[in-house]
Amino acid sequence: MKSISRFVVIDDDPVNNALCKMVIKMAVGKIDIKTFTLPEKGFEYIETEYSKNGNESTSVILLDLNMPLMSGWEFLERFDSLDEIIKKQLEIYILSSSVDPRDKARAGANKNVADYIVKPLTKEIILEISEEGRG
Amino acid sequence: MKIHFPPLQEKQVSGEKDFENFLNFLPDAVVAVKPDGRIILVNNQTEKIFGYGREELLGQTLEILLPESYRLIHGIHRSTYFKYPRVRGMGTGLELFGRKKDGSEFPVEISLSPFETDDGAIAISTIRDISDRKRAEEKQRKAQQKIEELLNFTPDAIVVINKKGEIVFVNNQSEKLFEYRKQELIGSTLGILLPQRFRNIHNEHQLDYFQSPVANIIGTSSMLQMPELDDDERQIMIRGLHSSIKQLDEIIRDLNNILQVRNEISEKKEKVFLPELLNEVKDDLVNLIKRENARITSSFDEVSEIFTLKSYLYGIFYNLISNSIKYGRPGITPLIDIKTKNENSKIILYFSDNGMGIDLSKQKNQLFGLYKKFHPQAEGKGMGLFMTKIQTEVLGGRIRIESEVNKGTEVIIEFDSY
Repeated sequence: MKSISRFVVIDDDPVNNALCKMVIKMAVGKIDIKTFTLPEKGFEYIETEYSKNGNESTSVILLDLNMPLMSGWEFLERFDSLDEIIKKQLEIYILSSSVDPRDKARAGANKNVADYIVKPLTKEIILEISEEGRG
Repeated sequence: MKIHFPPLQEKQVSGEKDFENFLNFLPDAVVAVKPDGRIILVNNQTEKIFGYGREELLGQTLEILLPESYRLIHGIHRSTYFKYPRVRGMGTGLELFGRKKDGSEFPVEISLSPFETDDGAIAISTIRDISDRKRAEEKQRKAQQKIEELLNFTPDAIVVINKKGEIVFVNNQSEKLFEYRKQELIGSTLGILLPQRFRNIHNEHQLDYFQSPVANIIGTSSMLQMPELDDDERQIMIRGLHSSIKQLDEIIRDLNNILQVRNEISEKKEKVFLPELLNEVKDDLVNLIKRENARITSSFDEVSEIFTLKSYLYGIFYNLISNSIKYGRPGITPLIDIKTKNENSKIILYFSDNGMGIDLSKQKNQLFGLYKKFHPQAEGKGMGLFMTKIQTEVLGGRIRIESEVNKGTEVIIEFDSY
């Protein structure tokens, strides 16, 4: 059982984000959850929040793919250029409604992506993530 | 004419009357015939459906209720039936028709039951008017056809698969893109389309726009079944559920609009007086205009009327104006100016606003895509420009956009003037 200290949800759809908050709470109880409807803001948050201290615990990012202004793919590209100190504190899960196998393949090929989750998020998935890590 | 029915169990004396009453309550026409085909009993519904009075039917053969074309053959069937009576439907798998007194024909379903009476065998025939059902089926068939037309109409290849991953529908573009014929694709699995060389050709996520509200509906509704939710959480989930359903509804409406584009082409062109058209659009957008406190100015001095399809031009005005308001800059009164010009035998319409603008360098090639939206917060699903482009092109016009982020957007539409 690894220790997860926070969930960061990045999705332009506020309904999904509200749902994620509730599902996570139901799965693991009280935990810090940050949600962003603007991926840009989510990225800024990660950049500043995780550069200061090399934390032992992991934060999980749930990242949507299909977003205007900055897509999940662009987010991943920029994430890759971040400092290792930041990256090693974070685990990215794609959370998308796309069932397109090419999206899955592309996500699977990205070394910063832990797994691909098809919406909607469920309690069971969160439990899997927090127990061993999926996949 | 008098027939004796087998006595009913409880009220023997009034049994016959009860039976007739009972028949009259049935939703279907009920007709009893003798082996020679003569009608000996009809219920009220028969009179209603076929338009004959009872007296006109009694004593006639059943064939009076059928179209002439199969009166003879039915006579033969009837004789056979009395030899081997059993409960059955008639013409299973065939389209049967009834014929009214006025000669009109309508689709029916007929079932036959043999019946022994004191006077010998009779057959009771139940005739159901299935016009409504046929109409509904026809409607559904047309709706399906419309969807297929739409799918053929979109610029992307669309492949519909069933749960097993087998292809059940492909549009025309799929044939072109994948160089397979439809017949080859239907029934095969999606894998056939996924070799390396086809990757990246088709990277739009049209279906995502259905899938995300549906995923939200699944997610929120299953949360609502959790007993441990408190009232606030329940409210949040109900709101989420509601807004996802609304979103899905809007997408379906939008699709319907696209479909109408095709069907309205037969509509007549007429002189459209632009100031009047603008007023109609403003009336329909009155809530949005009030809410955002938008101001719309116009000058139609150079061209005040266009000979065109009114509903399309209306659609163009409606979409562009509502876009300009929806994508206004927060805190700044939306100003929209519409003007017309007549240049080199061209009618040019300018729609300019002071809204958020679009970064054309980034998004130019996606500008008119179906379900492209450039501003995450604004309502709508990015249908407007796609529809506007289609409508403009159907009218023989061209559309282009100039825009600068945080300054505004100008949409320019050109028509040849005749």
